[in-house]
Amino acid sequence: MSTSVATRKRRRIPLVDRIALIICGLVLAIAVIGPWIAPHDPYAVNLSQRLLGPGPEHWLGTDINGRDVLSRILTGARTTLLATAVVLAVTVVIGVVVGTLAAVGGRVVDEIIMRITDVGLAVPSIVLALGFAVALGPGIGSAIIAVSVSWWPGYVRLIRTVVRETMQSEFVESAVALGVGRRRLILRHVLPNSLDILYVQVTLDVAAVMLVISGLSFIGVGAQVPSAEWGAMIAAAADNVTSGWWALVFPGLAIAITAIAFSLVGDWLRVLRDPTLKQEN
Amino acid sequence: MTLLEIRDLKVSYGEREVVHGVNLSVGAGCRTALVGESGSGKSVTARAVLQLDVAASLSGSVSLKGQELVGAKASELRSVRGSRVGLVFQDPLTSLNPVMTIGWQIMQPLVIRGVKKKEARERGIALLARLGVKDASRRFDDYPHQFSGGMRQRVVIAIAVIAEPELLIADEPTTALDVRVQAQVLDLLHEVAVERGMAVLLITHDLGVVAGFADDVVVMRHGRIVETAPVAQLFADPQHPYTKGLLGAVPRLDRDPAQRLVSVEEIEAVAG
Repeated sequence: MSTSVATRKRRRIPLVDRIALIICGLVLAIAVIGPWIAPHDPYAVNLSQRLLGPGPEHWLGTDINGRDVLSRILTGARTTLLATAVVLAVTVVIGVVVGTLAAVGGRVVDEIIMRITDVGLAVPSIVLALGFAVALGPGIGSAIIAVSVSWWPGYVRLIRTVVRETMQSEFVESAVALGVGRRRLILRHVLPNSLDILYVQVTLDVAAVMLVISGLSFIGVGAQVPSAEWGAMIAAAADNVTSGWWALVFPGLAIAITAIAFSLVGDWLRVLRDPTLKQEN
Repeated sequence: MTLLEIRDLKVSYGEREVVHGVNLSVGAGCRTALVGESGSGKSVTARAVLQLDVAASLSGSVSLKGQELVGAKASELRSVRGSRVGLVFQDPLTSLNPVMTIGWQIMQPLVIRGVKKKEARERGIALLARLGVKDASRRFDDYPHQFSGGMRQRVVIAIAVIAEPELLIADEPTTALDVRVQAQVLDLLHEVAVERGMAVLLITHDLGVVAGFADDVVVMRHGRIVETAPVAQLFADPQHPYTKGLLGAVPRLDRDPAQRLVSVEEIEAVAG
């Protein structure tokens, strides 16, 4: 009985997760083609049309400089998601390389790496980003560097744990018994059997990293105000929220919906991968 | 001629010694069975040959055709592993890499020793066919989960013997299989060993398996060897009370059905 229920669940994606998957696909598509489907120029200042409410000409209204909010959201998706993708790419690469080193490099290497990651985990990314903003000048680049620097220790820990677990497998012992060398052992036997967890973790982290990047832009150390980045748009609109709430609420909704969709998909992947969680649902 | 010579081998984990001075030899081309109940140290003794367990500390001597392996350099051990001594694991489910095709894994011992892919592939397919896997060339690119337990153990044997080792250590190779498949796999192992002139050290707790397979039998208990004898002699005239007890614990068709089997407690009482 319980097995048949489990199989049926795996075949049918739950409705919520299906919607989340569609939203994620949509957001990714917008990130690619957004600038071409934007109905207006996202940077064209038109002071005669400032702070128009949502209507037939400007579906989501205009901001304080008369720029079309919808166009800016569509264009901004690329900046926000690209920054998130860069952060995750950098931290995953560091995590895999350093985490594997910690797992297989012996006790001394492991101790050194783990103490450094402890320090990394102790520094909040916002504080770090403020430091980078001062040192490098504010901009989306500083935000990317700052979030990457504060994000990699998590991946190092994750990969270290998974690699150590895989090293205990019998097929790894059997490869050693065949005379397989260390490098081949790690690259062809251990890592291919360890990295599937990244699909889950990366999807879950898309939401978190995106929030931090937008948050940094909001407080003014990330993307700067004229650029169409979701966090920066909110920051610019915050001053006149009473006369034009739409310029603040819609980019905010874009962030919230995207973040929720990605974390739902991440959770769904996690449950798929772990049969024990599936039974609880 | 002696292929593997183990002299006064002691194995300990930290402070705890689990194998207390074992002497054992395997002649070239001979099949020796190492028998004992679980925890007797049989597996630890056999695995000491390849030194896979970094936590185990060894003393004494393990020599392969005169080459001393205890205290050997890592590079020396690597040249022995797989190419001179092969190892078949107990559970074919966990000893195969799940994300690589079985062909890739069968070819691997050859590929890491510089054999061309094309040649390795041909040899792999031929060996797999010899081991009774139907449609070997088509199934060569399948993944482990696409095979049944018995077929998987044939794959594991193929991996262990493809580099033509002089000695094959089979650590309970049939324990994870059902009885009918057990016999097939053992017969196959026997045939391949004879064909290739390969010596086999078979580790098992199943005396029924030993009779048709081995030339010599070594009985271990509590980390010591209690009896070593040719297989016919051991079954006809066991010397040590523990061996007698073990043989008494094997169910047989030619015995009076009313007679009870010997229990472990009774063996313990006699053997002390």
